[in-house]
Amino acid sequence: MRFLIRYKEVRGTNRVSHEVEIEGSVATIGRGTDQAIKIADRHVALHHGTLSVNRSRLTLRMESGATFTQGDEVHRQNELKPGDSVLMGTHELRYLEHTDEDTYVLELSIDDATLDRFSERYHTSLIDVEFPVRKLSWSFFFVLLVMGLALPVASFFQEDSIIPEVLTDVVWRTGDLHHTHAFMGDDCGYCHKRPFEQVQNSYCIACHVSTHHHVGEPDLSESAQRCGDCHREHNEEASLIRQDATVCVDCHRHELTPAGQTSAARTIPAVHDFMDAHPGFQVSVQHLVKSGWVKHRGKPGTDIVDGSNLRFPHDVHLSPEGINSPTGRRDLTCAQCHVPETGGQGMKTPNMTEHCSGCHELTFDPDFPHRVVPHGSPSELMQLLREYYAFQFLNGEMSDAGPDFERPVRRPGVTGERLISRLVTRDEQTAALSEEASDYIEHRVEEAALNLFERQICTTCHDVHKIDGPVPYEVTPVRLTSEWMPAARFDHRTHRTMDCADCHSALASPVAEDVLMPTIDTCRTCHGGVDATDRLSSTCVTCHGFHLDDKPMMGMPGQRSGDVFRRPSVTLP
Amino acid sequence: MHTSFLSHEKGRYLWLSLTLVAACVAVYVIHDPLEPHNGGTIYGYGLGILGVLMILWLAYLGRRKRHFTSRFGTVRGWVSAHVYLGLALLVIATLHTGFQFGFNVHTLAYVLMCIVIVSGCVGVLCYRILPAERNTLKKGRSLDELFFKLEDLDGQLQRLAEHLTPDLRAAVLSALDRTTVGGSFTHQLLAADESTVLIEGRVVENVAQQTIIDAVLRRLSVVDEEASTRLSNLIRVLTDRRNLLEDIRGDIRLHGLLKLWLFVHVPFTFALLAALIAHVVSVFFYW
Repeated sequence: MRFLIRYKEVRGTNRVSHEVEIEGSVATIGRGTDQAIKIADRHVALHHGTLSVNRSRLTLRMESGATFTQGDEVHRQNELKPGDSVLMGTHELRYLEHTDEDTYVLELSIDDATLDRFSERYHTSLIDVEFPVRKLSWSFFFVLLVMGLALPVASFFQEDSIIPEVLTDVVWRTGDLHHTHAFMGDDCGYCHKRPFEQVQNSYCIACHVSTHHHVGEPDLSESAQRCGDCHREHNEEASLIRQDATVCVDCHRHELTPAGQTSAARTIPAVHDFMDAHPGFQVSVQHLVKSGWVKHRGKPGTDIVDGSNLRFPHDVHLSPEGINSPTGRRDLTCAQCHVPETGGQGMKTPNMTEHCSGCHELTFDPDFPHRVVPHGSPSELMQLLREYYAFQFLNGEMSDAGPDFERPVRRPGVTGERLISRLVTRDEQTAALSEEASDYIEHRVEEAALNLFERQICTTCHDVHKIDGPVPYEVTPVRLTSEWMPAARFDHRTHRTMDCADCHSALASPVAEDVLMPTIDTCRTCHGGVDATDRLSSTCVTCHGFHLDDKPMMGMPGQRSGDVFRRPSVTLP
Repeated sequence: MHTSFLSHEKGRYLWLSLTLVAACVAVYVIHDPLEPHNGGTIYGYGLGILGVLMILWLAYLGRRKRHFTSRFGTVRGWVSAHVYLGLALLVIATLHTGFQFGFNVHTLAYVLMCIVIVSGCVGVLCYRILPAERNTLKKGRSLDELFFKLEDLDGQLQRLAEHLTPDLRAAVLSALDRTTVGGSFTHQLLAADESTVLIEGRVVENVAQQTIIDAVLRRLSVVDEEASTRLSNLIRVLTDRRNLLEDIRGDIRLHGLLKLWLFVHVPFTFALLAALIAHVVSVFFYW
């Protein structure tokens, strides 16, 4: 089966014709180059129609909504008989008589006037293909505006929004929260409560109610400095607490006198860098005066002394040759008396019971040297001594009993031979016996007290003086300083690789009045300024805090200090 | 004397942009904010304002280049400034981010801006390289001239084909008729050749006219001397025509590439504008 197509074209004044053979029983007609019968007319569809032979019948079927005219009739599809002529547009297709049974001869007269010039047949520029730049541009614009702005805003105003979470204000999140705020999850409303409003202090204080102010009489209005001025969230390298010096130096580069303070000692010197411009350390010591304990401040290494009222030579106790103890010679180290608190930041205050009594036994009776008194006040001790010697008298254990005398043990219900009822009768001898007891007791107590308070024991460490009255001795109160630099935070734990003597020159200290705190030069051995590269870079908050415990609390105006555990006013998930 | 938009006014806008970038980088390095660098520091806000103004002005080129009666600078001057300040914007916007990025609308705006700028760089490269390539390809002729030349060759071939046997003549004529250039979006950019030829009763591909040339060559091998001279002539013209077609397709391709980058540059500019609005509003919504 084949088609024989005779093309007839008029080119200029020439009539041109040629024949082509097309194998098969189907011949496609159209503008496309893949069509069997090609007509380069833009009015002709790429695939315009199909000629097909079926059981020796030739059918012309139009595609792409096209039609053809046969006589006066318009068809989409029709059978052609030899001699039939149809018009497709202005091109005429005539079905000629067969030359042989299997060859279908058709003559195609192409109207040259409608043919496109070669340069017009194809898109030769991207403009021709009409890439939808504008449509794409506006589509992008509106889609992004909806997803990036409209939907998140809508989700802000709706409590239980149907908007999927990924299209809510989650898309506005500029960075992760600090891990301590991670419990807030994706709920921006913890801090961002009203549109176009900066995060207010009250939103922070809802949880951080016990944060203290920095100054004594703060401005508590919302127009005062915002928490957010210093504490910035949503940054990478979560840095909620500012480490820079600027926040402090902005004010403290000048000398400051807090309101209400007139004493020069209360003036805060100017400071702007630990290495270059930081005042020398001052220590806070206490002294007992008539009106009570008062604090003084002064620099270590000057004539400032500690007023603990204790006698204690560090040099003796830390002597390399050791120290005498009841059990022989002992070598003492700093750690045996100076024990870190739990957490290791500070040091526990040494006390008599734990740290001294091992060597310093409070004996009072040479006849019974293994008896000691507790470390108590003079009035307690005097009473205790009286009771001790009264008991001794009542049981007949007089001073001539000897050091190895063992008192018989008294058991409940067993009457002994020296019960007081045998010694004292109800009548005649009562007065005489009481006087004897009283004399004995007073004598022994006086002797013991003399030993204790004046001669041997208490005076080793305390300042004792005689007074008039029922308790004839008074010990000057002792108060050991535990916070030498209360305005700074020092953590012993982070310095545990150092030796105590690196900062505290105790080995050479003969008296407790010595202030054994380091000067700033000691710390500058390792700590430098903010920009230090050859030392540990240290900023103000390395050692100092901004929120000071002795100032009013932000969430509870009027309250100054004290532990406050208060449930936050937010509901945690 | 032609001056490139890149060297307009002796590269005035290049120096302006370099100065601007140097100043911004210097301030960024010196400025020590009280928190990690980000768009919310004082300097961050400053760079953000500068960036927004630059983006709006850069986008305005689309309007300015169509505003033929405007006397506010020349379009070439505007294009020159657009290119150099657009490159400067890349640095300025990056400093504005403080190098903090995340999966949010803010980084989306930045990424869209980068796509716009990169596609713009592609455009600059295209305009630097491709016009000269087009000229070389067409040897100084216009595309219309190439088409005229093609019609001329087609006429020659039609006349030469009259002396051929009917089957070969029909094949040659069909090769002329079924030659394609350009076409769809991808066909133009790939300089695709969808030409066909109706030969031996079938429509077969005729890429680079090779099928018809091979058919004539096969005939050449079996004809006498006179016919072979004619056929050789025919092959020569067919080959010339093939080369010309390659030039035409190449030019269409280069012309398409000169436009292609804009199909990314412009839509993404509008995407950027939307993301920018969302970015600025959201930053102050959750101030």
